[in-house]
Order: sequence, then C-alpha cells, then structure tokens
Amino acid sequence: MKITNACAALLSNYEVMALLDERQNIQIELQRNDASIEYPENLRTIQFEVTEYLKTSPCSTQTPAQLKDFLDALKPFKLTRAERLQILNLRPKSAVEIYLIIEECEERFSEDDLENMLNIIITTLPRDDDEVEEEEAEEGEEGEPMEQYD
Amino acid sequence: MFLLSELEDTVKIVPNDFRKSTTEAITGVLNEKFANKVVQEVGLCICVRDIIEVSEAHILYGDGCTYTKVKFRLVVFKPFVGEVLTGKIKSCSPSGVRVTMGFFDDILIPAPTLQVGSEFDAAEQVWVWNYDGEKLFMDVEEPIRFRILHGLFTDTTPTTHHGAVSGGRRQSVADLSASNDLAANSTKIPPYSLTCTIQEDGLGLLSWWGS
Repeated sequence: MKITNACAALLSNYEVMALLDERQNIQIELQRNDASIEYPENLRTIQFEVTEYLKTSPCSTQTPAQLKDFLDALKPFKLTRAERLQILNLRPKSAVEIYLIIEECEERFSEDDLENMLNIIITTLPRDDDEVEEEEAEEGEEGEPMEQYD
Repeated sequence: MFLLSELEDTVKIVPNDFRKSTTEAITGVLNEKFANKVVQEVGLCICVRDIIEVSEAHILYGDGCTYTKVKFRLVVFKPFVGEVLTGKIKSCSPSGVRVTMGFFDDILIPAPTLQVGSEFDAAEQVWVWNYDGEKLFMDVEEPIRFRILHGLFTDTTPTTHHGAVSGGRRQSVADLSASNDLAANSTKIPPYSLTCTIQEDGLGLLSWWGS
C-alpha cells in the first residue's frame, strides 16, 4: 500500500454527508434486488456513526446552491480556505463563535464586517432554529455565558 | 475535519466476485479493508470516494484470484491543528475530560487545558468550572465545543522484541510478539488520538455561550 497524497483535498461536512447518503441508498437498492448481499460490519458501523453525527450538525440542511451563494457572498472578505470551511461546518451564530474561527479577527475585521458575515451566514444558510435564537438572544448578552435565573 | 487522501494498493478479487462489475468489486474490497480503520499519518478512513486508475488484472499461478493495482481516493477523518469541533462529553476523570463524536472517541481535553478556574468534583466525578461565583458542571452527554491542539498517531501493529534476550530459555518470536500485543492491548493505546483545549472564550459546553 502506498500513500500518494495524504491530503489531496479538504471536504466540507456537507460533501461527506451527501456521499454517504448516496452510497447508502445504492447499497439498500442492491440489497433489495439480491438479499444475499452483505456489507462488512466496519463499513456499516462507520457509515452509520458518521451519518448520525452529521445529521445533528448544520450541514444537514445545506444544499449545493446554498454553498455556492455562501462562498460568493464571502469572497470580498478574503478569508482563508480553512476559515471558510470551518464557518460552513460550524455555522457560527454569534460574534464569540466567529472569533474562535478567524485568526487575528480584531486586526483584520471591524465589528460591522463581523455583523455582515453573520448576516450572510443567516441568509445564505438558513435553518429553522434561527428564529428560536433571536428570542433567546434577548435574554443573554453575547460573548458571556448565560446567566442562571434563581 | 474530513479530507480526501489518494492511495495506491493491490486489490485481490476472489472468483466469486467476478460476476460484479470491476468498480463494484474493487470498491467492495477496499471498503472492507479501510472502513473504520486508522492509516498511520493519514487518519481514520471512512469510505472510498472514487477510483482513479485501475491497472491490468493479473492471475497468479496456483491461485484463481485476480490482482489489480488500484489508485483510489478515500474520505478520511483528520482534523487539522487549530480546528474547532463539536462533540459530547463521554466521561470525566482527574486527568481531564474525554469527548466523543460518535464515530471517534479518542479525544481528550487534559486538565491544564480546561477553562481557568475548573476543578474536579470527586463526589460527583465531574469537572466544574467556577466562573464569576457560579458553578458550571460539565456533565456527561453535554454537547461541547473544543479546539484541536494536536493529533498523535501510534503504530500499534505487532512487532518483534528488539531488546537482548537474557540467558535461559530463549523465547520464540511468536511468544515475544504475543506478549507485546498483550501489553499494548491492556493499556489500550489508540492508533490515533486527539488532544484538545477549551481554554478560550466560546469553547466549552455550548450552553455556556448561549447556543
């Protein structure tokens, strides 16, 4: 066995989830036609576990069109590939989360830039829990842990 | 956290699988070999993404199987240093917090990299972050956000003992490698493990930061 290129490309969570879904559908189809086909346990385990994990992540509601819009909208900000990939995978909803992802955030971007980035994320990658977030945001300040009410 | 790796390997197809298409047979053999296994310096392999090149198949004398050199790409889990990921707390111990992502759980957040002001509550066997006079518990099953500090690959393939053999009965190679295997398995060294930190604003339990 030879490793020709250990890191040929980075994959977003969405791409991996789409690939696994496609593979699993083909497997189910083949098994329906021929019931004697069995897939190895290690393959089934890892496919199942990764799909379960990705279902709970923001990539579960993404589509190729959303990804394209998202990347186009972020072009003017000149983020590195790793930063764009992490924003896509983690879908930050607050400034605190963006600070984690972008290096030297304060030096490269102003608060307005970050505001714009968060809006781009909400508009190009919409999710149902956005509305719930707005209600909760009124209770706690951004950037600090939630206070417990006695 | 996922990447594509290009590999090259020789694939053996048994005559029973000749009825399958070449791609299907090769993908099946490769998936069985690599799925859910760690390849040193590459990462945890998930599945085959596609096959790039297939050489001519050879049949060896005395064996009915075909052998083909295949170039292919695998989907691999290998987060880069500094990447932020989410997982669930699996367990707490005085040395730190174990985190699991379902498909991978050799993730450790050592005690020094927990939030400043954290202490281990021996009675409840959980870590507690003392923030602003509040006790924030790090309970099992809580979702947690962490940053990768580094990933460590350990070669756990069986090896023969390299030390000098003392006088008396000379141990056979099989005995030596068997005892080494037992030693490695008893301490359960994972082939790939991640060390992480949560010592930054925004890291730690998702509930701490209003998510």
